[in-house]
Amino acid sequence: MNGRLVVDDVHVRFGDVVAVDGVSLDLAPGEILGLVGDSGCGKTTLARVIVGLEQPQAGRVFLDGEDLTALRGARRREVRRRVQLVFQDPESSLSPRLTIGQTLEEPLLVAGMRSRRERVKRVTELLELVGLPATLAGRRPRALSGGQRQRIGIARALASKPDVLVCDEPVSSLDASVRAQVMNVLLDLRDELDVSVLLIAHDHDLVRQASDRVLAMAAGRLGSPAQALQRR
Amino acid sequence: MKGVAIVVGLFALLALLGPELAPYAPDDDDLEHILEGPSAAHLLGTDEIGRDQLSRMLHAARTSLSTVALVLAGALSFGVLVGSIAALRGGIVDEVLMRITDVALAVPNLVIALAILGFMGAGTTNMVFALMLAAWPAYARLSRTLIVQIKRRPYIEAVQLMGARRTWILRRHLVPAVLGPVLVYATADAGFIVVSVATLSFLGLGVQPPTPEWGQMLVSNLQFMETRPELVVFPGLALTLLVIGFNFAGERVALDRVPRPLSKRALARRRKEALA
Ligand SMILES: Nc1ncnc2c1ncn2[C@@H]1O[C@H](COP(=O)(O)OP(=O)(O)O)[C@@H](O)[C@H]1O
Ligand SMILES: [Mg+2]
Repeated sequence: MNGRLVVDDVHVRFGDVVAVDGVSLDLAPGEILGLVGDSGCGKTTLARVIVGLEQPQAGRVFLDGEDLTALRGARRREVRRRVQLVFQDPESSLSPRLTIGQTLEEPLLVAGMRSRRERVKRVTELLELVGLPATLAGRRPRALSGGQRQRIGIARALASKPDVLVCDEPVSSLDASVRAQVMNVLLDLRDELDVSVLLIAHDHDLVRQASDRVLAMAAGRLGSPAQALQRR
Repeated sequence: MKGVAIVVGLFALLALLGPELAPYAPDDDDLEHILEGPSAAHLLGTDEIGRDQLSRMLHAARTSLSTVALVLAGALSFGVLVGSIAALRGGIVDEVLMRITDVALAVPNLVIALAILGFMGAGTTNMVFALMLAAWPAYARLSRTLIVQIKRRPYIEAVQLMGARRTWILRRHLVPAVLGPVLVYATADAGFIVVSVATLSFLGLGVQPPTPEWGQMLVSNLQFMETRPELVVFPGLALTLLVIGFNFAGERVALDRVPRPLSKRALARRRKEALA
């Protein structure tokens, strides 16, 4: 089974701000690993390094033994698809110009799925996977609720058939009433698809319920979960 | 967008049909009937060598409008190309390209065009080329600013994560997103280019006689202002209408882009969907 993610001593600075200060972690295939920490402690930056949107000053990220930070060109594009990100803010993570169907079709097009019929079929499957009706494909993001948008964000990430899914506070911008729904969608997916999940949040209870294991982060470093809970 | 479509459509129609509707050829002279006032045979009268003023005006529509369209198309495509490269490459490439546009933007377009024409010589083709070279930097600057703003949006980053190439992102997301604001700018710019074409032709650097062009007609007829004012007034009116039309259209698009509050019905629908 694929999806072993190893983060090895990653450091990220923005000018004088040390955002990530030597983080190492190990995500086993099929595992849900929770990562909690206060706002500003470097969670998003770490997530961006893992998916390759941010280049660390030092440290490496391995997916099934391959160093992602060293990849370039076509190989980089190919491997990077296997690590997907669910963004914190579902609003800005969907193009306002595209319909939901077009948004979900794009990863299929990039991956080279030629047949239109196949793509339409796959879009319907993806919508179903996150518990949304196929009729949503013709809508634009503005016509959707926050919870629906975040499910589209999840579906888009899954369209690339990732081995690792990094979720950056996937429900923190949503109303309390729909948080549980969206969390359940994520948990069901782990059982249905072989995907490892790094679940980032500052809501400790939610992460503890959902995760196999929880790490705590503070000021750019990892500590034990106990410490983090005590400080609360 | 509708306002622009209508204005541009009307002008395109005029450019297309104008010459077909003209009762005479634009260079059809008649020395027996020079500088005559409006009559049934010559609705707008004749000029100093007896050419039908209405026919010349109608032919000039095609000249004016097609030169403006060419200048805009060239400046817009080249500007957006340069702006995209600067925004996507960043670093030294961005630095160099933007310094060049800054310098070009600091000099009035007409001065740049005059300098280029001084070098290349007069003529319609050279004028179109010179005005393109003068006009592109504004499009480069505008599209560069817009692309820098949106290229970091999460929805663009999500496409990067799909393994898409830069050219894919440019084609599918960035260029379509900048095209709206760039077209708004272009409609406002069109009025200015109309005036530049008229000015350069008036200076003898652009459209060459006997090919009719409104600006050049206006100027060469200026000497008859006292006796036959309509020879000056009508080309002037045509130019004014064209400039106002473009400015009006540009303003409409700009206003259309200001977000309006949601209607009660849209709000209710959204609320219902949020609960569903
Ligand atoms: N692009 C950036 N430029 C400068 N500083 C940044 C940038 N991204 C994050 N930071 C800083 O890095 C620190 C960690 O931010 P972030 O990773 O977003 O934390 P979290 O997701 O845990 O709230 C913060 O102090 C933040 O201000
Ligand atoms: Mg964050």
